[in-house]
Amino acid sequence: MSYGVSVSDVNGNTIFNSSHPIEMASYYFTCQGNTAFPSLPDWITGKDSRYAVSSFSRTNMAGNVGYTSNFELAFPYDQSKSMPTDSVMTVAGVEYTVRNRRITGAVMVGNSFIFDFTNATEYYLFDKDVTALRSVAASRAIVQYEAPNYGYTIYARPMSASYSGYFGWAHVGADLRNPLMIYDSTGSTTNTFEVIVASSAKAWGAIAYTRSEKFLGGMSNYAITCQTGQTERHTPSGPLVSMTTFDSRTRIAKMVLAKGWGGGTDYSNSSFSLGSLNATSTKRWVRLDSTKAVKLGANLTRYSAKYQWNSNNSISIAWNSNGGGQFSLQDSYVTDLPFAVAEFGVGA
Amino acid sequence: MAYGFQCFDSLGNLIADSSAQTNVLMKIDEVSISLAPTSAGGSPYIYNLTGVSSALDLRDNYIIGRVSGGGGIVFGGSGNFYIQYHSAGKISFTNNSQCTTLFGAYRQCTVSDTVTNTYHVYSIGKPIT
Repeated sequence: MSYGVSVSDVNGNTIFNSSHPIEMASYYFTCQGNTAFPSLPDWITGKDSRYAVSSFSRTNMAGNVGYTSNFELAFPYDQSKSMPTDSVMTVAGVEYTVRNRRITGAVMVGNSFIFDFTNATEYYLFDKDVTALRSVAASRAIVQYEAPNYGYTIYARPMSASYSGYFGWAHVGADLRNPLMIYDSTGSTTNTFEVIVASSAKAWGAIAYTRSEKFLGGMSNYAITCQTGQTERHTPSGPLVSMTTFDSRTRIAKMVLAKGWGGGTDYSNSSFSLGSLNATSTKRWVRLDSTKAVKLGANLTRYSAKYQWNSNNSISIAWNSNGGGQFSLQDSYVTDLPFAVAEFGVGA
Repeated sequence: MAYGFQCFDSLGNLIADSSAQTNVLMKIDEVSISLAPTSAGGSPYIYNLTGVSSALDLRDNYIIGRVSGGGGIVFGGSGNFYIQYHSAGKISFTNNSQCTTLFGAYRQCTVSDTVTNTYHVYSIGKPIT
Protein backbone atom coordinates (compact mmCIF):
# COMPACT_ATOMS: atom_id res chain seq x y z
CA MET A 1 0.00 0.00 0.00
CA SER A 2 1.22 3.47 -0.85
CA TYR A 3 -0.39 5.33 2.06
CA GLY A 4 -2.16 4.75 5.35
CA VAL A 5 -1.58 2.47 8.31
CA SER A 6 -0.63 -1.19 8.27
CA VAL A 7 0.01 -3.37 11.31
CA SER A 8 1.67 -6.74 10.83
CA ASP A 9 2.23 -9.60 13.22
CA VAL A 10 5.55 -11.13 14.15
CA ASN A 11 5.52 -13.25 10.97
CA GLY A 12 4.87 -10.29 8.72
CA ASN A 13 1.22 -11.20 8.19
CA THR A 14 -1.25 -8.33 8.16
CA ILE A 15 -3.38 -7.83 11.27
CA PHE A 16 -5.13 -4.82 9.79
CA ASN A 17 -4.47 -1.93 7.48
CA SER A 18 -6.29 1.08 6.17
CA SER A 19 -6.98 -0.36 2.73
CA HIS A 20 -8.80 -3.65 3.33
CA PRO A 21 -11.60 -4.38 5.80
CA ILE A 22 -11.11 -7.18 8.30
CA GLU A 23 -13.91 -9.08 10.02
CA MET A 24 -15.06 -7.49 13.28
CA ALA A 25 -17.58 -8.31 16.00
CA SER A 26 -20.77 -6.27 15.75
CA TYR A 27 -23.26 -7.97 18.05
CA TYR A 28 -23.24 -10.44 20.95
CA PHE A 29 -26.08 -12.41 22.51
CA THR A 30 -26.90 -15.80 23.97
CA CYS A 31 -29.51 -18.35 22.98
CA GLN A 32 -30.50 -21.92 23.68
CA GLY A 33 -29.68 -24.87 21.47
CA ASN A 34 -32.45 -26.88 19.82
CA THR A 35 -34.82 -23.91 19.99
CA ALA A 36 -35.61 -21.33 17.31
CA PHE A 37 -32.71 -18.97 16.69
CA PRO A 38 -33.60 -15.37 17.66
CA SER A 39 -34.19 -12.75 14.97
CA LEU A 40 -31.20 -10.51 14.46
CA PRO A 41 -31.65 -6.73 14.43
CA ASP A 42 -31.77 -5.43 10.88
CA TRP A 43 -29.12 -2.79 11.60
CA ILE A 44 -26.61 -5.65 11.51
CA THR A 45 -26.81 -5.48 7.73
CA GLY A 46 -25.88 -1.81 7.62
CA LYS A 47 -29.35 -0.33 7.11
CA ASP A 48 -28.33 2.66 9.24
CA SER A 49 -26.37 3.92 6.24
CA ARG A 50 -29.46 4.14 4.08
CA TYR A 51 -29.64 6.84 1.44
CA ALA A 52 -32.73 8.96 0.71
CA VAL A 53 -33.42 8.73 -3.01
CA SER A 54 -36.64 10.76 -3.16
CA SER A 55 -39.56 11.97 -1.04
CA PHE A 56 -43.25 12.42 -1.77
CA SER A 57 -46.66 12.05 -0.14
CA ARG A 58 -49.44 9.55 -0.68
CA THR A 59 -52.96 9.34 0.74
CA ASN A 60 -53.97 6.03 2.23
CA MET A 61 -57.42 4.47 1.85
CA ALA A 62 -59.84 4.62 4.77
CA GLY A 63 -61.68 1.71 6.34
CA ASN A 64 -61.24 -2.02 6.00
CA VAL A 65 -60.39 -2.70 2.38
CA GLY A 66 -59.48 -6.36 2.50
CA TYR A 67 -56.44 -6.47 4.75
CA THR A 68 -54.71 -9.75 5.50
CA SER A 69 -52.33 -8.40 8.15
CA ASN A 70 -52.30 -5.71 10.82
CA PHE A 71 -49.09 -4.51 9.24
CA GLU A 72 -50.77 -3.65 5.91
CA LEU A 73 -51.94 -0.23 4.74
CA ALA A 74 -53.71 0.28 1.40
CA PHE A 75 -53.18 3.04 -1.14
CA PRO A 76 -54.83 3.67 -4.53
CA TYR A 77 -52.47 2.37 -7.19
CA ASP A 78 -49.97 4.97 -8.35
CA GLN A 79 -47.00 3.71 -10.32
CA SER A 80 -45.29 7.09 -10.18
CA LYS A 81 -45.10 6.87 -6.38
CA SER A 82 -44.09 3.29 -5.88
CA MET A 83 -42.57 2.48 -2.49
CA PRO A 84 -39.88 -0.21 -2.79
CA THR A 85 -38.65 -2.22 0.18
CA ASP A 86 -36.94 -0.01 2.80
CA SER A 87 -39.04 3.04 1.90
CA VAL A 88 -40.21 4.79 5.06
CA MET A 89 -43.56 6.36 5.93
CA THR A 90 -43.37 8.73 8.89
CA VAL A 91 -46.49 9.44 10.96
CA ALA A 92 -46.28 11.54 14.14
CA GLY A 93 -42.56 10.91 14.35
CA VAL A 94 -42.90 7.13 14.06
CA GLU A 95 -41.16 5.46 11.14
CA TYR A 96 -42.88 2.61 9.33
CA THR A 97 -40.57 0.72 6.97
CA VAL A 98 -41.90 -1.03 3.87
CA ARG A 99 -41.21 -4.76 3.82
CA ASN A 100 -43.33 -5.92 0.92
CA ARG A 101 -46.17 -5.02 -1.46
CA ARG A 102 -49.12 -6.73 -3.11
CA ILE A 103 -51.56 -5.41 -5.68
CA THR A 104 -55.21 -6.32 -6.21
CA GLY A 105 -57.88 -5.07 -8.59
CA ALA A 106 -55.89 -4.96 -11.82
CA VAL A 107 -58.16 -5.94 -14.70
CA MET A 108 -57.03 -7.66 -17.88
CA VAL A 109 -58.12 -5.77 -20.98
CA GLY A 110 -60.00 -8.34 -23.06
CA ASN A 111 -57.73 -11.31 -23.65
CA SER A 112 -54.69 -9.13 -24.29
CA PHE A 113 -52.71 -9.99 -21.12
CA ILE A 114 -52.41 -6.23 -20.72
CA PHE A 115 -53.69 -5.09 -17.32
CA ASP A 116 -55.53 -1.90 -16.44
CA PHE A 117 -54.48 -0.67 -12.98
CA THR A 118 -56.85 2.34 -12.89
CA ASN A 119 -58.87 0.98 -9.98
CA ALA A 120 -56.16 -1.24 -8.47
CA THR A 121 -55.09 -1.11 -4.84
CA GLU A 122 -51.57 -1.40 -3.44
CA TYR A 123 -51.20 -3.02 -0.02
CA TYR A 124 -47.90 -2.17 1.59
CA LEU A 125 -46.66 -4.44 4.34
CA PHE A 126 -44.81 -2.43 7.00
CA ASP A 127 -42.58 -3.47 9.87
CA LYS A 128 -45.12 -2.31 12.49
CA ASP A 129 -48.83 -2.50 13.23
CA VAL A 130 -50.62 0.17 11.17
CA THR A 131 -54.24 -0.56 12.12
CA ALA A 132 -54.43 2.79 13.94
CA LEU A 133 -53.79 4.58 10.64
CA ARG A 134 -56.66 3.00 8.71
CA SER A 135 -59.62 4.99 10.08
CA VAL A 136 -59.04 8.08 7.96
CA ALA A 137 -57.66 8.81 4.52
CA ALA A 138 -54.68 11.03 5.24
CA SER A 139 -51.67 12.30 3.37
CA ARG A 140 -48.60 10.35 4.44
CA ALA A 141 -45.00 11.51 4.11
CA ILE A 142 -42.90 8.92 2.28
CA VAL A 143 -39.16 8.79 1.76
CA GLN A 144 -37.74 6.26 -0.67
CA TYR A 145 -34.48 4.84 0.62
CA GLU A 146 -31.78 2.58 -0.63
CA ALA A 147 -30.29 0.53 2.17
CA PRO A 148 -27.12 -1.55 2.26
CA ASN A 149 -27.53 -5.26 2.83
CA TYR A 150 -24.14 -6.38 4.02
CA GLY A 151 -23.75 -9.99 4.93
CA TYR A 152 -22.55 -11.25 8.28
CA THR A 153 -21.04 -14.34 9.84
CA ILE A 154 -22.20 -16.19 12.92
CA TYR A 155 -19.63 -17.41 15.44
CA ALA A 156 -20.86 -19.54 18.34
CA ARG A 157 -19.61 -21.48 21.34
CA PRO A 158 -21.23 -23.35 24.23
CA MET A 159 -21.34 -21.25 27.38
CA SER A 160 -20.70 -24.16 29.71
CA ALA A 161 -17.03 -25.14 30.04
CA SER A 162 -18.13 -28.73 30.53
CA TYR A 163 -20.17 -28.98 27.33
CA SER A 164 -19.32 -31.93 25.12
CA GLY A 165 -21.18 -32.70 21.92
CA TYR A 166 -21.55 -31.39 18.40
CA PHE A 167 -23.59 -28.50 17.09
CA GLY A 168 -24.41 -26.66 13.86
CA TRP A 169 -27.32 -25.14 11.95
CA ALA A 170 -30.53 -27.13 11.44
CA HIS A 171 -34.26 -26.62 11.34
CA VAL A 172 -36.26 -26.97 14.54
CA GLY A 173 -37.43 -30.57 14.77
CA ALA A 174 -35.61 -31.32 11.49
CA ASP A 175 -38.75 -29.99 9.81
CA LEU A 176 -37.86 -27.89 6.79
CA ARG A 177 -40.86 -25.62 7.38
CA ASN A 178 -39.59 -24.58 10.81
CA PRO A 179 -37.13 -21.80 11.61
CA LEU A 180 -33.44 -22.45 12.03
CA MET A 181 -31.81 -23.27 15.33
CA ILE A 182 -28.43 -24.27 16.67
CA TYR A 183 -28.73 -28.05 16.62
CA ASP A 184 -27.20 -29.49 19.78
CA SER A 185 -26.46 -33.22 19.69
CA THR A 186 -27.09 -33.56 23.41
CA GLY A 187 -30.80 -33.10 22.70
CA SER A 188 -31.09 -30.55 25.49
CA THR A 189 -33.08 -27.36 24.99
CA THR A 190 -31.44 -25.66 27.94
CA ASN A 191 -27.80 -25.56 26.86
CA THR A 192 -26.83 -21.93 26.35
CA PHE A 193 -24.73 -20.87 23.37
CA GLU A 194 -22.90 -17.59 23.08
CA VAL A 195 -23.12 -15.96 19.67
CA ILE A 196 -21.03 -13.23 18.08
CA VAL A 197 -22.23 -11.74 14.83
CA ALA A 198 -19.23 -10.57 12.84
CA SER A 199 -19.28 -8.24 9.87
CA SER A 200 -16.83 -6.93 7.38
CA ALA A 201 -15.32 -3.80 8.90
CA LYS A 202 -16.95 -1.91 6.04
CA ALA A 203 -20.35 -3.15 7.23
CA TRP A 204 -19.42 -2.49 10.85
CA GLY A 205 -18.71 1.11 9.94
CA ALA A 206 -22.11 1.36 8.27
CA ILE A 207 -23.82 0.65 11.61
CA ALA A 208 -24.74 3.86 13.44
CA TYR A 209 -22.35 4.84 16.19
CA THR A 210 -25.36 5.23 18.51
CA ARG A 211 -25.70 1.42 18.48
CA SER A 212 -23.75 0.71 21.63
CA GLU A 213 -24.10 -3.04 20.99
CA LYS A 214 -21.51 -2.83 18.22
CA PHE A 215 -18.73 -1.77 20.57
CA LEU A 216 -17.67 -5.16 21.88
CA GLY A 217 -14.41 -3.72 23.11
CA GLY A 218 -16.40 -2.06 25.86
CA MET A 219 -15.72 1.56 24.99
CA SER A 220 -17.26 3.89 22.45
CA ASN A 221 -15.66 7.25 23.04
CA TYR A 222 -12.07 6.80 21.91
CA ALA A 223 -10.32 4.54 19.48
CA ILE A 224 -7.83 3.90 16.79
CA THR A 225 -9.77 3.62 13.58
CA CYS A 226 -8.56 2.95 10.06
CA GLN A 227 -10.46 4.37 7.13
CA THR A 228 -10.20 4.15 3.38
CA GLY A 229 -10.35 7.21 1.18
CA GLN A 230 -13.76 8.36 -0.02
CA THR A 231 -13.81 5.81 -2.79
CA GLU A 232 -16.84 3.58 -2.25
CA ARG A 233 -20.60 3.83 -1.71
CA HIS A 234 -22.81 1.98 0.75
CA THR A 235 -25.68 1.99 -1.78
CA PRO A 236 -25.75 2.45 -5.57
CA SER A 237 -27.01 6.05 -5.41
CA GLY A 238 -25.32 7.04 -2.18
CA PRO A 239 -22.33 9.37 -1.92
CA LEU A 240 -18.73 8.26 -2.01
CA VAL A 241 -17.73 7.85 1.61
CA SER A 242 -14.83 6.70 3.71
CA MET A 243 -15.07 3.04 4.77
CA THR A 244 -13.89 1.50 8.01
CA THR A 245 -11.20 -1.17 7.80
CA PHE A 246 -10.36 -1.46 11.52
CA ASP A 247 -11.64 0.02 14.77
CA SER A 248 -10.26 -0.73 18.22
CA ARG A 249 -13.67 -0.24 19.88
CA THR A 250 -14.70 -3.74 19.01
CA ARG A 251 -13.06 -7.14 18.67
CA ILE A 252 -11.54 -8.63 15.58
CA ALA A 253 -12.06 -12.20 14.43
CA LYS A 254 -8.72 -13.97 14.61
CA MET A 255 -8.55 -17.33 12.92
CA VAL A 256 -6.90 -20.01 15.01
CA LEU A 257 -7.73 -22.87 12.65
CA ALA A 258 -9.30 -22.44 9.22
CA LYS A 259 -9.80 -24.85 6.36
CA GLY A 260 -11.89 -25.09 3.25
CA TRP A 261 -13.78 -28.40 3.08
CA GLY A 262 -16.33 -29.78 0.66
CA GLY A 263 -18.09 -32.12 3.08
CA GLY A 264 -17.76 -35.87 3.62
CA THR A 265 -19.29 -38.84 1.87
CA ASP A 266 -23.03 -38.47 1.73
CA TYR A 267 -23.90 -41.95 2.96
CA SER A 268 -21.72 -42.43 6.00
CA ASN A 269 -20.66 -40.71 9.16
CA SER A 270 -17.12 -39.40 9.41
CA SER A 271 -14.99 -36.74 11.00
CA PHE A 272 -12.65 -34.05 9.73
CA SER A 273 -9.73 -32.44 11.51
CA LEU A 274 -9.19 -28.71 11.40
CA GLY A 275 -5.80 -29.09 13.11
CA SER A 276 -4.51 -28.94 16.64
CA LEU A 277 -5.28 -26.28 19.20
CA ASN A 278 -2.94 -25.15 21.91
CA ALA A 279 -4.28 -25.00 25.45
CA THR A 280 -5.63 -21.59 26.44
CA SER A 281 -8.34 -20.04 28.54
CA THR A 282 -9.15 -17.51 25.82
CA LYS A 283 -12.54 -18.45 24.47
CA ARG A 284 -12.64 -20.25 21.12
CA TRP A 285 -15.52 -19.68 18.71
CA VAL A 286 -16.56 -21.68 15.65
CA ARG A 287 -17.59 -20.16 12.35
CA LEU A 288 -21.06 -21.64 12.04
CA ASP A 289 -22.17 -20.55 8.56
CA SER A 290 -20.93 -23.54 6.57
CA THR A 291 -22.84 -26.03 8.73
CA LYS A 292 -25.98 -24.95 6.87
CA ALA A 293 -24.85 -26.74 3.75
CA VAL A 294 -26.07 -30.27 3.09
CA LYS A 295 -25.56 -33.26 0.87
CA LEU A 296 -28.59 -35.37 0.09
CA GLY A 297 -28.01 -38.99 1.06
CA ALA A 298 -30.02 -42.19 0.77
CA ASN A 299 -33.73 -41.88 1.54
CA LEU A 300 -33.39 -38.10 1.36
CA THR A 301 -31.28 -37.97 4.53
CA ARG A 302 -29.40 -34.71 4.70
CA TYR A 303 -25.76 -34.98 5.68
CA SER A 304 -24.15 -31.90 7.11
CA ALA A 305 -21.11 -30.84 9.09
CA LYS A 306 -21.25 -29.91 12.76
CA TYR A 307 -18.54 -28.77 15.10
CA GLN A 308 -17.49 -31.54 17.48
CA TRP A 309 -16.78 -29.67 20.68
CA ASN A 310 -14.89 -31.66 23.28
CA SER A 311 -13.46 -28.65 25.06
CA ASN A 312 -12.14 -25.15 24.39
CA ASN A 313 -8.93 -26.81 23.22
CA SER A 314 -10.36 -29.75 21.25
CA ILE A 315 -12.64 -28.90 18.32
CA SER A 316 -13.12 -30.82 15.07
CA ILE A 317 -15.83 -31.55 12.51
CA ALA A 318 -18.45 -34.28 12.80
CA TRP A 319 -20.15 -35.36 9.56
CA ASN A 320 -23.51 -37.10 9.85
CA SER A 321 -27.20 -36.75 9.08
CA ASN A 322 -28.28 -35.84 12.62
CA GLY A 323 -30.14 -32.56 12.77
CA GLY A 324 -30.27 -32.31 9.01
CA GLY A 325 -28.58 -28.98 8.37
CA GLN A 326 -30.55 -26.38 6.44
CA PHE A 327 -32.47 -27.59 3.46
CA SER A 328 -31.85 -25.15 0.67
CA LEU A 329 -31.06 -25.76 -2.95
CA GLN A 330 -28.62 -22.89 -2.79
CA ASP A 331 -26.78 -24.27 0.24
CA SER A 332 -25.72 -27.64 -1.11
CA TYR A 333 -22.02 -28.32 -1.28
CA VAL A 334 -20.82 -27.15 -4.65
CA THR A 335 -17.31 -26.23 -3.60
CA ASP A 336 -15.18 -26.11 -0.48
CA LEU A 337 -16.68 -24.06 2.30
CA PRO A 338 -14.84 -22.31 5.12
CA PHE A 339 -14.71 -23.98 8.53
CA ALA A 340 -12.82 -22.20 11.24
CA VAL A 341 -12.09 -21.83 14.91
CA ALA A 342 -11.58 -18.23 15.93
CA GLU A 343 -10.74 -16.10 18.92
CA PHE A 344 -12.02 -12.60 19.65
CA GLY A 345 -9.39 -11.83 22.26
CA VAL A 346 -9.29 -12.10 26.03
CA GLY A 347 -12.55 -11.21 27.76
CA ALA A 348 -14.82 -11.88 24.79
CA MET B 1 6.39 -6.32 24.42
CA ALA B 2 9.50 -4.70 23.00
CA TYR B 3 7.91 -3.42 19.80
CA GLY B 4 4.71 -3.37 17.82
CA PHE B 5 1.04 -2.79 18.51
CA GLN B 6 -1.24 -3.98 21.24
CA CYS B 7 -4.96 -3.24 21.55
CA PHE B 8 -6.94 -3.63 24.77
CA ASP B 9 -10.63 -3.48 25.60
CA SER B 10 -12.00 -1.20 28.32
CA LEU B 11 -11.24 -3.82 30.97
CA GLY B 12 -7.61 -4.08 29.95
CA ASN B 13 -8.03 -7.38 28.13
CA LEU B 14 -5.72 -7.91 25.20
CA ILE B 15 -7.65 -7.95 21.89
CA ALA B 16 -4.85 -7.75 19.34
CA ASP B 17 -1.08 -8.08 19.62
CA SER B 18 1.33 -7.65 16.75
CA SER B 19 4.10 -9.51 18.58
CA ALA B 20 2.16 -12.78 18.30
CA GLN B 21 0.87 -14.61 15.26
CA THR B 22 -2.55 -13.17 14.48
CA ASN B 23 -4.48 -14.56 11.55
CA VAL B 24 -7.37 -12.33 10.59
CA LEU B 25 -9.91 -12.57 7.84
CA MET B 26 -9.38 -9.71 5.47
CA LYS B 27 -11.61 -9.04 2.50
CA ILE B 28 -9.31 -8.25 -0.38
CA ASP B 29 -11.68 -8.14 -3.33
CA GLU B 30 -15.18 -8.51 -4.67
CA VAL B 31 -15.36 -9.85 -8.20
CA SER B 32 -18.17 -10.73 -10.61
CA ILE B 33 -17.34 -13.30 -13.28
CA SER B 34 -19.41 -14.47 -16.24
CA LEU B 35 -18.50 -17.84 -17.73
CA ALA B 36 -20.00 -20.10 -20.34
CA PRO B 37 -19.84 -23.84 -19.59
CA THR B 38 -16.62 -25.41 -20.82
CA SER B 39 -18.68 -27.87 -22.86
CA ALA B 40 -20.03 -24.86 -24.74
CA GLY B 41 -16.59 -23.47 -25.39
CA GLY B 42 -16.17 -21.37 -22.27
CA SER B 43 -12.59 -20.76 -21.15
CA PRO B 44 -11.39 -20.57 -17.56
CA TYR B 45 -11.08 -17.08 -16.09
CA ILE B 46 -7.61 -16.43 -14.69
CA TYR B 47 -7.77 -14.22 -11.63
CA ASN B 48 -4.81 -12.46 -10.07
CA LEU B 49 -4.67 -13.41 -6.40
CA THR B 50 -1.50 -11.79 -5.22
CA GLY B 51 0.45 -13.94 -2.80
CA VAL B 52 -1.13 -17.32 -3.48
CA SER B 53 1.64 -19.85 -3.88
CA SER B 54 0.13 -23.34 -4.10
CA ALA B 55 -3.08 -25.32 -4.06
CA LEU B 56 -2.52 -25.94 -0.36
CA ASP B 57 -1.98 -22.25 0.27
CA LEU B 58 -5.19 -21.46 -1.59
CA ARG B 59 -7.14 -24.00 0.45
CA ASP B 60 -5.77 -23.00 3.84
CA ASN B 61 -5.26 -19.26 3.61
CA TYR B 62 -7.99 -17.91 1.35
CA ILE B 63 -11.77 -18.03 1.31
CA ILE B 64 -13.53 -17.37 -1.95
CA GLY B 65 -17.21 -17.28 -1.13
CA ARG B 66 -19.98 -16.89 -3.65
CA VAL B 67 -22.31 -14.14 -2.42
CA SER B 68 -24.70 -14.02 -5.35
CA GLY B 69 -25.10 -15.62 -8.69
CA GLY B 70 -27.19 -17.54 -11.10
CA GLY B 71 -27.70 -21.18 -11.76
CA GLY B 72 -28.74 -23.51 -8.99
CA ILE B 73 -28.88 -27.25 -8.80
CA VAL B 74 -32.56 -27.28 -9.79
CA PHE B 75 -31.63 -27.02 -13.40
CA GLY B 76 -28.73 -29.39 -13.39
CA GLY B 77 -25.81 -27.15 -12.64
CA SER B 78 -24.38 -26.08 -9.34
CA GLY B 79 -24.21 -22.53 -10.61
CA ASN B 80 -20.89 -22.25 -8.87
CA PHE B 81 -17.55 -22.23 -10.63
CA TYR B 82 -14.71 -24.65 -10.04
CA ILE B 83 -11.90 -22.73 -8.42
CA GLN B 84 -8.33 -23.97 -8.43
CA TYR B 85 -4.75 -22.85 -8.11
CA HIS B 86 -3.29 -21.89 -11.50
CA SER B 87 0.21 -20.59 -10.89
CA ALA B 88 2.03 -18.27 -8.52
CA GLY B 89 -0.27 -15.33 -7.88
CA LYS B 90 -3.07 -16.69 -10.05
CA ILE B 91 -6.14 -18.88 -9.64
CA SER B 92 -8.69 -20.00 -12.19
CA PHE B 93 -12.48 -20.11 -12.26
CA THR B 94 -14.11 -22.67 -14.54
CA ASN B 95 -17.77 -23.27 -15.31
CA ASN B 96 -17.97 -27.06 -15.29
CA SER B 97 -21.76 -27.11 -15.09
CA GLN B 98 -23.75 -29.69 -16.96
CA CYS B 99 -26.99 -28.60 -18.52
CA THR B 100 -30.39 -30.24 -18.35
CA THR B 101 -33.90 -29.61 -19.50
CA LEU B 102 -36.61 -28.55 -17.10
CA PHE B 103 -37.41 -32.25 -16.73
CA GLY B 104 -33.88 -33.25 -15.77
CA ALA B 105 -32.71 -34.79 -19.03
CA TYR B 106 -29.16 -33.86 -20.00
CA ARG B 107 -28.74 -31.63 -23.01
CA GLN B 108 -25.89 -29.90 -24.81
CA CYS B 109 -24.84 -26.66 -23.09
CA THR B 110 -24.76 -23.47 -25.14
CA VAL B 111 -23.41 -19.98 -24.55
CA SER B 112 -26.88 -19.00 -23.37
CA ASP B 113 -26.12 -21.11 -20.27
CA THR B 114 -23.53 -18.50 -19.26
CA VAL B 115 -23.66 -17.81 -15.53
CA THR B 116 -22.52 -14.73 -13.63
CA ASN B 117 -21.33 -15.23 -10.06
CA THR B 118 -20.09 -12.69 -7.56
CA TYR B 119 -17.41 -13.71 -5.08
CA HIS B 120 -15.93 -12.15 -2.00
CA VAL B 121 -12.27 -12.96 -1.72
CA TYR B 122 -10.84 -13.22 1.78
CA SER B 123 -7.33 -13.80 2.96
CA ILE B 124 -6.61 -15.51 6.27
CA GLY B 125 -3.43 -14.29 7.86
CA LYS B 126 -1.34 -13.31 4.84
CA PRO B 127 0.74 -10.23 4.13
CA ILE B 128 -1.57 -7.81 2.31
CA THR B 129 -0.30 -4.77 0.52
